[in-house]
Amino acid sequence: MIHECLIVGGGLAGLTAGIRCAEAGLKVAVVSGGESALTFASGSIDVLGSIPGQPVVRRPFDAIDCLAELSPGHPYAKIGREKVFQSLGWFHGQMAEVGLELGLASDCRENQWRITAAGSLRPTWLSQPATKAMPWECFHGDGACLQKVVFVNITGFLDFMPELAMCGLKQHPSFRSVAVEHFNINLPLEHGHGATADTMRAPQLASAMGDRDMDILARVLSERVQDAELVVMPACFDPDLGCNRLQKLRQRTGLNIIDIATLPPSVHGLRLHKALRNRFRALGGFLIPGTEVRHGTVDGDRVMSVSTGEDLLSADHFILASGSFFSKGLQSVKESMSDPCSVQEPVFNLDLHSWADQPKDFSSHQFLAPEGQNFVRSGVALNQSGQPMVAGKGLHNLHVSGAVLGGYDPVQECSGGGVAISTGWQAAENVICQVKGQQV
Amino acid sequence: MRRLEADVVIIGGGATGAGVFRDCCLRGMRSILVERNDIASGTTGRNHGLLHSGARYVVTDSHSAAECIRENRTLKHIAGHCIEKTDGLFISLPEDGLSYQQDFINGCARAGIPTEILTPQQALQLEPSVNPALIGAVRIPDGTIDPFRITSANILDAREHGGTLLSDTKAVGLIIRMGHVQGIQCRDQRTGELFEIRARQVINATGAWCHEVMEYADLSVDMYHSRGALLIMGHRLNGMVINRCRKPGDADILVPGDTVSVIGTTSTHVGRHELETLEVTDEEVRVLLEEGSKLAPEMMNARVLRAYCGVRPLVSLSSDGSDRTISRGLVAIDHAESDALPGLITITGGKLMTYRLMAEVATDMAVRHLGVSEKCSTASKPLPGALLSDQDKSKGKNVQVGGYSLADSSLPKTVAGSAVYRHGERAKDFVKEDSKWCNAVVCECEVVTRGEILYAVDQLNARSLSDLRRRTRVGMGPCQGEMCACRTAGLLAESRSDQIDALDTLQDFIEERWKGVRPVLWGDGLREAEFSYWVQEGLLGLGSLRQQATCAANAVDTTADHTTADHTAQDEERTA
Repeated sequence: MIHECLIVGGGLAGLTAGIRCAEAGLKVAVVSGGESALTFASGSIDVLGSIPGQPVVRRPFDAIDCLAELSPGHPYAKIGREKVFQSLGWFHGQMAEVGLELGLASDCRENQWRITAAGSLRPTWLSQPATKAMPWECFHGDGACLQKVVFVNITGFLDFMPELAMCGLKQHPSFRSVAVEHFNINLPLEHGHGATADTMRAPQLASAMGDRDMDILARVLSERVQDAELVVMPACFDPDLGCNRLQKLRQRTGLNIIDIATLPPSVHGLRLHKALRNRFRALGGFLIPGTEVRHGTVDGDRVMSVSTGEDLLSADHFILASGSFFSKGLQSVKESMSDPCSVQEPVFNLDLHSWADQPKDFSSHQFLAPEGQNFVRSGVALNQSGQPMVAGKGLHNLHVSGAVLGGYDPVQECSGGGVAISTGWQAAENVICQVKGQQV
Repeated sequence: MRRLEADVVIIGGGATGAGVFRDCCLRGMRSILVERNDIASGTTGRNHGLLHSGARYVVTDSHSAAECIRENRTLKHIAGHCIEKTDGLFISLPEDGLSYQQDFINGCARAGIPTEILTPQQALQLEPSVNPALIGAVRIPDGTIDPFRITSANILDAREHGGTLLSDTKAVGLIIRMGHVQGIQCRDQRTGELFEIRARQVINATGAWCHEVMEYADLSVDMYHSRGALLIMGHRLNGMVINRCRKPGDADILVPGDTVSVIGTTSTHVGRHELETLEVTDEEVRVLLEEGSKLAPEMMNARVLRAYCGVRPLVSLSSDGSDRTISRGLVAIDHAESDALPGLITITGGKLMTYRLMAEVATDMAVRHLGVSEKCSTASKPLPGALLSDQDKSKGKNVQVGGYSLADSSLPKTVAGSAVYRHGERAKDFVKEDSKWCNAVVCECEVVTRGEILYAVDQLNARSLSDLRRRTRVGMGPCQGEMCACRTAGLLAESRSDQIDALDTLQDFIEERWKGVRPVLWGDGLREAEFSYWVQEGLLGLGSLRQQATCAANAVDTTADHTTADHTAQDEERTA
């Protein structure tokens, strides 16, 4: 079967591109190698939260102009502010189509806050359904809108650390005068088959909970929490897209409960991944899971096919959304013991943003360094027309999106989700434009 | 100023200091050990973990060789739970020739080290990872030793015999009255409090840093600080220790240990002012990998987990150049005799292998001055945890300890087995079936349970994540503490929240792990590091917390009065 578009990578960027292509009526397939990085993501969509040397970004789309000026090689710079906004708005709608209502700030061009399991506050643009109570004013400046926050964990569950989160939250200026407390609730875990919470990761805990557990949670929360404006719990309630249990718990207790991403695997991240796959399939996209693309064949300025080692997959257009090092979209290789290591894009051997090749130049002295890590910024470089290159020569029918791209720092900038979505969407738009152009 | 009193105060919590501490306590002396950081955090924790047979030194340093083989046998008896009796090979490669092998065998015979000459085929059969190009091999009784565990066991025994451990306590001066050393001045590194310990004997067991204590009394010693770099491979490549049968050189020993293998070392002279800022260089990494893969070619394809280095506290007794020619022998100085300064003893030089002997020598010096008649018993009394026989240990789950049988437990063998492997019969103190939360696995790589963490906090004086790592191996496996570090920090906060800032210790731990990963950041190591970075910074925002705190500190300046008042009110409210 010849696809009009074949996408390498089934994470946020690849599936976004796939959904857009399928929506436009293209015959599209996504080849996915394994676990997506979404498995350990927060499930919120960050667009832009930080620009070096500037205060935390409140209006991410407006800040893109400034970012583009500072770093013209940034993927956002190539797409432009309005298209980034357009693509993310479109994405929000697509997720709603399959029942995942991601939360926006009341001004949809503004960021909101995400509380992390270590008590840090990270700016984000779209939040998971139950997390929408975190408008910007809440924690900015003197943050007087809260008196008391309570962290509640399930007894024994190791991947949510309330004590740590409390320490973290108290470090933030706007929480200095806020009372922060915590307690645990012991649950029988109705569907846990006798296993206890201490042996479970968040998704297992979510499927182990039954109505009886929810009853206990509702009763204990109502009894023990009276005066807190915010109750923070681990995201371990709803493995499905609707978030009904947490909504119900909020109604029953009358409390403002939010569930936040735990240590991986994260229920929020898995939920987002599920929503993406559902939407892609619903639009007629073809998903090829568990298949790693190893090599691509290039003829002149065109990609002809990609190979999985066993099969040869052909298509008119290709989108590379293979992720960074963890997902093996990029590799750092040491050819021999005496050679320094070099970074490569393994499928097409695309030209990369160049970084010094000694391990130590590739990273910062501190791990949690304010200046970030260089290895995070490495990746595929694009030419003036936005095409990837092999030995300086642009490829016409290959488009690149997501973390395999270089020139940006998803972690320090808080831009990973937004770059994946906007570059995925843009890659799809390019393909659609070329396909429709040929048809005309 | 607060003042403590003791018969003996020991400075330095490495293997030697811990050994002196135990020896003194077993001989009935009231003893205090001060350590500026944590036990085994200096040279002790930064070596191969090789239980030398002494064979390495038979040609160059026969005295050290004889010491090693004696202690080798002693430690197998008293510290079984810290040791794996792997045996070792000395292999000759074509480029080495066989001429050294004869000198080597003769030397072993002189030192009393048993040898068995093997054909290349026999060697390959015994140890399949060995370089198949070898032209000869000799089997000797090398083994592996866990330096953290043995230090911890010595400390535990000393404390159970009345000793007091003061970690995070730095000796900042000697109290000298009328030409006698009568104790030390100390600083609590956490609170900054200065206090005194009065003692009749001060034993300086600070190893590579011993000149600092001696300088408090205007004494000097000619230390030759030799840095050795090592690499930890991501999995266990070899069952037996593999040595190169030639004159000691770079990267000529590959030591297995627990779940990993360690290749080392290099040898570079460093100045005394560089002791606190050691970093492994790219060149050292290259040499270790190139030379190391000649011992076991599989190393070429293995992941390098981390790089680290330590400093040998060699004492230069002659002015002769290279450090490989300086004796690894112990140096014990009774300053009463050598400098007419009674009350101070310095024990340095030597090596991990001879820590117990060094302790015995130093303690013997001390008892002479104190008029204590009790003889040394550390060579015959097993350490806590070493009471189980090898047979018991190998059965893992089927261990019976004090009427409690792990065989009857429903625990997975890996959980019970790891606990017994690390803590011997003392595992009974935390492997409990009745308390279900104790057996939750916190660190999957090394199978460390919540119970083991809490035991290390309560019984083994662990106060930070790095302390816990040294006592339990938490965060030492292939993932380098990606998630278990966060879980463990949560547990620490839960257990001792008054003394530990869980976030500080988590951030310190992450940075300490990074120091070792950074020089070997390629391949799967980089993938793992990227994943850690996403989780710890992207998902949890641990780094931005530090920045938020800095912002907060700056903001406090402008609004100081108001917020301080608020804060106090809040604290009172919560206490009430």
